[in-house]
Amino acid sequence: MARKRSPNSTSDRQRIQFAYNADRDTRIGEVFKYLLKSDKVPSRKGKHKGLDAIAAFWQAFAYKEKEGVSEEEKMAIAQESIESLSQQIDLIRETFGIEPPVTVTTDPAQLKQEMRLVATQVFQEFASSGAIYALAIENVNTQPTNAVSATTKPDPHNDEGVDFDEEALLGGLFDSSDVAA
Amino acid sequence: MTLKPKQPSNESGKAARQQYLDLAKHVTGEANLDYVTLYQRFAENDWAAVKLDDAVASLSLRFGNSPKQTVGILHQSPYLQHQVHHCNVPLAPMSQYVRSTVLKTVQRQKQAQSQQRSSLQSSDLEKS
Repeated sequence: MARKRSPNSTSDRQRIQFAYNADRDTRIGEVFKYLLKSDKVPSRKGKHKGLDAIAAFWQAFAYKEKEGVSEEEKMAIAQESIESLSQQIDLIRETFGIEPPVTVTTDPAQLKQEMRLVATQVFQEFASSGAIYALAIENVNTQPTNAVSATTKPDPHNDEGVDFDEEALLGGLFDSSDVAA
Repeated sequence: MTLKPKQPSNESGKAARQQYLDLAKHVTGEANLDYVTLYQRFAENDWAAVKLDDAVASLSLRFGNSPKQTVGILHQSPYLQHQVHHCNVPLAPMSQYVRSTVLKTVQRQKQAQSQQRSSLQSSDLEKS
């Protein structure tokens, strides 16, 4: 019996080519040499690495408007790209000893929560140093007093890990009250 | 209703606001920016406003302002001004936020300088 031809058989496949001739002495030329002409990376593997890189960068956008692909599939593709790119970032950091940036809270709700925590800590510090009364007066009169900053010297235990005198560097907590008014 | 920033009530506030605006112009690359526009754009967008304060603090220190001066300048940030004068957040926690922003920036810049020094030293060693 004659075998039914698969819709994906070689002769039916529609193909698209991506080719680029790079000058060897350009940066992209160096990348091509690393991927295709290196002793460390077989050229077949090198081509796949190049294709993986292109796909990780652009496949989510390529599928974004494509019809016949469900939203779940599109999200999975985007997620897959993020994972690939994150892994590559980790690899570059590890290879070159680059520390990740200081984590910044990006969620406004989380940020507000953190600010509440800071505010609570500040007020607890005032309460324990007896300066809360002076702060209340300052809030009513919006009159900064040097006496307040003198009584709110930070607890030295809270400065652990900071290798300089915060107050000498930044001034007292209420030194800029005038500026903010 | 359009958001309007409170006018500074003294000369030091006015000077700090102008300095903040000048630095923000550098950060955003918009030379014609005015404070009202900056305020309306950032005051209610917490995340962006905090990022703007980070960038302004960093630039202020790089332009040679002391950490203490930078703390003063950041007291005119749209974020602090909005929180204090519009949302009635007490000044103390907001001042603490500004101080911690400047402190982190100082530490980051010190760290970057020491890394740069050590990499320069090691490249000198390699040459010799």
